[in-house]
Amino acid sequence: MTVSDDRMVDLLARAEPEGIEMLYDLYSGLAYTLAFRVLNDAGAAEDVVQEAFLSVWRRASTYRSDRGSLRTWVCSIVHHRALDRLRGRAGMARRDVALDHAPTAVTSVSDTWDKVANVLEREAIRSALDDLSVEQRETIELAYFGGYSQTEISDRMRVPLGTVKGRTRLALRKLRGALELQVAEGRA
Amino acid sequence: MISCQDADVLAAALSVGSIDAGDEATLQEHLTSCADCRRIAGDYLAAAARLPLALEPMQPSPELRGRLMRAVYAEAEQASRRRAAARTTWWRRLWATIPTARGFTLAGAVAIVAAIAVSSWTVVRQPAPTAVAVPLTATVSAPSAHGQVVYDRGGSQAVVTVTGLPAPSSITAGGAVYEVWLIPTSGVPVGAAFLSRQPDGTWSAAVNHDISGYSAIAATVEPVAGSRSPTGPRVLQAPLGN
Repeated sequence: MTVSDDRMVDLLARAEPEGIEMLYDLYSGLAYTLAFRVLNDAGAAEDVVQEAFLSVWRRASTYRSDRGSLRTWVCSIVHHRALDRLRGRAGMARRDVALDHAPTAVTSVSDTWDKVANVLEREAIRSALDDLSVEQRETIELAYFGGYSQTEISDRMRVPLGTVKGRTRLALRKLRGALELQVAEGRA
Repeated sequence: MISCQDADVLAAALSVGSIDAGDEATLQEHLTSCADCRRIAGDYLAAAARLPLALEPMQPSPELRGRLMRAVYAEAEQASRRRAAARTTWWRRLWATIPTARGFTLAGAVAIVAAIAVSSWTVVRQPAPTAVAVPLTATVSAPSAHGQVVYDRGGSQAVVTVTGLPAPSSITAGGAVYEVWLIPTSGVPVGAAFLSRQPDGTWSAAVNHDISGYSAIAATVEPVAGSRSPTGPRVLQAPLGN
């Protein structure tokens, strides 16, 4: 947990609005980027981000740092809510744009965003994704950003369900390995 | 019960949101009793949460921050007012009932006398404790459980204590935690806290939430990370009288 996380956790635990302000300033860009990528709708993405941060504010006392960082917690909430909205949307139109071709920013990139998801970190995760096979990467993208279940991915990619499960696991293991390596290098 | 190897596969699917509903229940049951797999699942979740970092960053409109913080500050202010009101002593409330012009006017004197009389009668009839204890009723899912919720009337905090609760996994497959819900008269329940098992075998939770607007409180069995709305068996419940 970073120093900023410590401070935010302390403020949130005491139900101080300043805590959610700090959290929003740090992670709203990341949250919105994720929600927009899943939903491809600026209004719906903002709704999801607002709901997610309000949920964090109301449930701050349930946060446990030993279960993951604040960023992981926020991203998980945003991701779940975005997928819920996507799956509930009538006649939903899912997007299959690859990560490299994701939409460019519709608004300016803030200094806060640069502090959190700086270029080095972005390059690190992109590098980890580049190490995946094309099939593994597509599987992850269809699941995480497209909101497809493994059964749906199996049908879509015309491969057995077991293959989808295997690709997902291998991809996550590689990403986890890259994450651990980055943490180790950061400590070195 | 699935193997750790199978759990590994399902945990990866869970982290990217593609796990099928039936598999999720199976996985949660395994995670309840396997610390190693819980750690791996947490690692996968952390790895998946980094995927958005690969995207070109975007920003929401500046207005969103304003909308969010207005809602947050409004809730915080409401909670603060209720806490302050709960701390106000009876004689301060009495003083507040007296007209602003508290000089030695006849109207003021009459008001003082009347207010004292009314307040004394009210105080005698209603000692008005600041803390309210409401017993929790067990359900058929956990018939031996009993406990209570204690809260400041009009306050924003409550403490739930429970005895006689078995492990969540013994209530239902995949059950990992007891989640406390605040239930409004209309609308959806709000997840407020998780019950924590204490060394003496009791369970407790601090609900850091303004509960005055809710009509009931309940606890359900949920998967390890909790749920966005109640999904498992209800084990305890109580009306809040709001």
